[in-house]
Amino acid sequence: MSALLLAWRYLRARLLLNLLTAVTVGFGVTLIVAASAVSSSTKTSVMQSAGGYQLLVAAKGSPVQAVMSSLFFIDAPTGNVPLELYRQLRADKGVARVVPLNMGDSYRGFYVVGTTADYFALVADMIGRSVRTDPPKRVFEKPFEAVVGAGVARDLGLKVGDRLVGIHGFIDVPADLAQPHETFPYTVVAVLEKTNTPADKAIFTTVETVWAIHHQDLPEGWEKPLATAETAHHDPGTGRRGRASEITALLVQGKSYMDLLRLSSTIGRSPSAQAIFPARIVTRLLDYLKIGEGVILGVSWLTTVVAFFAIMISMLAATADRRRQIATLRALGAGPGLIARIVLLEASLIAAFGALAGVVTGRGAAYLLAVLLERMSGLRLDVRPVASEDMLTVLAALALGLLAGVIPAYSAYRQDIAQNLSPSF
Amino acid sequence: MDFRSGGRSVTVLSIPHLAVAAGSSVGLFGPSGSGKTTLLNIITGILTPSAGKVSVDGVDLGGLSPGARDRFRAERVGYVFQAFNLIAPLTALENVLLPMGFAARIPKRQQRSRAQELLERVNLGHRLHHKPAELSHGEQQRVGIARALANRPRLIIADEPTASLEPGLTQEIARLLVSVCQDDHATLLVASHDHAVLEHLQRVEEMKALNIADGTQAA
Repeated sequence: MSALLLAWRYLRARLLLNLLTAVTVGFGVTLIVAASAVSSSTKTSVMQSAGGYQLLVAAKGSPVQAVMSSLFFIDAPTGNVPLELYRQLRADKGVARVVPLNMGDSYRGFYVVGTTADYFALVADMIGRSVRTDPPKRVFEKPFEAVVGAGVARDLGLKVGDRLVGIHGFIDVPADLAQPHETFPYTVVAVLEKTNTPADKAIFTTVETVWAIHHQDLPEGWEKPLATAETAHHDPGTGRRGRASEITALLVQGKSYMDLLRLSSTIGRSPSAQAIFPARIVTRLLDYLKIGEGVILGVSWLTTVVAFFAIMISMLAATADRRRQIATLRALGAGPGLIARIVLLEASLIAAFGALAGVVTGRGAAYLLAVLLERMSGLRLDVRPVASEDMLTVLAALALGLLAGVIPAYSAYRQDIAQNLSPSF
Repeated sequence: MDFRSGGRSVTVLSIPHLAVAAGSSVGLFGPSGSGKTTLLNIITGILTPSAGKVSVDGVDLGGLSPGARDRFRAERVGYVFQAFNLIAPLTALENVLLPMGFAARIPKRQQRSRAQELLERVNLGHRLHHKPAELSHGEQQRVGIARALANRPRLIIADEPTASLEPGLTQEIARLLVSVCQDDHATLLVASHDHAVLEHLQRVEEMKALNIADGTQAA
């Protein structure tokens, strides 16, 4: 009979206690695995998403807020920038593409973003292929046409032909507090494929639609005037606020990095706008997140240390309870090394089972967090079912179990056979 | 042979001479504290005498390393305990298989069938897969006897083998112990204060006569 089988039988004999000890190990491993998996995939995903946008031009204010609102659609914009800037950037020879973002409304918690078809070209650059739509190759062509992201369509059950009424602002407020633009319903003309980018969580329409909804006339010289019939149909003709002169933000792609630096420097001198390199902001943001990650990992390791002592105490109690049985094994010819091996194997098995369960629950927790984050922000975290570092975690837990078993194993190794065999003992 | 208890310099056992013929059955009789168990532990190499020589089956135990003493016990000695001392998480069959794993005497392929055969010999063929807690005291001791025979030992040591049994079982277990040892040509050494057990043995030695230690301080 092997030491492993004996260790296994002893483990089963104290199943509940050993399970609880393994749970302690599993809890620490769950935290470590989940925190590491979410952290690394968040970094990758956020950097991938932010990396698609070279330069963001937004109103003065918090750059983080500007990035969150314009890139990830999860915060209010910092304000508006002069429309003149859009014209200047379009005319600039160093600019390869400039995408306007016109925001101000939302629909059931999802941003309504006025933009141009170029936005989808940016998303296509990010995912490495053109963005498919249902029906194919259909985006907004006229005002009040809406293209909805895959996540929005899924969550709200929207389909082509549906009409929706946005509300002013970005919070999904109760009906009695909302300011709906009832006279300006959108018609869904296409649904975007799932891109795993923030585009999944927004509703897109033309830039002009947003102005129209907010009772603003098109800017002078705007090359894409609203169709008269559409305007007449949607606009009751009251409360007009003059011509539009601002836009929420601009996404700029330069022809070279030098062009981007020049543009950033020029825009930085403007009193009403700022130029932001999103990748830098996101990097800084991730640095802040590292502090939280460090705290979680600290707690995880602390839990693991507690687990270490839990295994040690459990095994010490087991060897004390088993003194007669250990003495019997010795009397039957088992060497002290075999007795120590049984104890070490038991401690390692407890740690290994805890660690394996911890990896499974940790990966599961990371997956659930990823689903939650995707629903909130559209960012998809690539949480793999298993990773090479999981094997390291299990091996580390095994080593921890072995280490925790050393003192109990030594105690079993040194036990006095004659004394412990005595029936009066 | 002298034995000093623990670290103290008091000689608790001093036996000038004791010889047991191979294949015989000998009883050690005496009250509790007379040194029966200590003597058995010395004979099995669990305790080491402070002076003198102990030779079992031609092996001088004093010349063995601790590891060799473990191997000696595994290969040449079978142990029957007063409190049965079965390994609780193992079945009857596994308890008998256990010592076979400590010695390389029974080929692996034959171990299971031998364990089964031994349990059948002690009338427990129907209890192979029961754990000790599911067996009566008498059945547990019969498993203990089967376990002691597992490695075909030359010497069977039984320390108060019936002391934890109901009175009605004493004769049955004593008879069984003697008969299986005879069948296997094993020497049987029984420590007991129970005449009902000792009457089955060929020879009985009184500890009072064997042990001349008077508990005085050793030199």
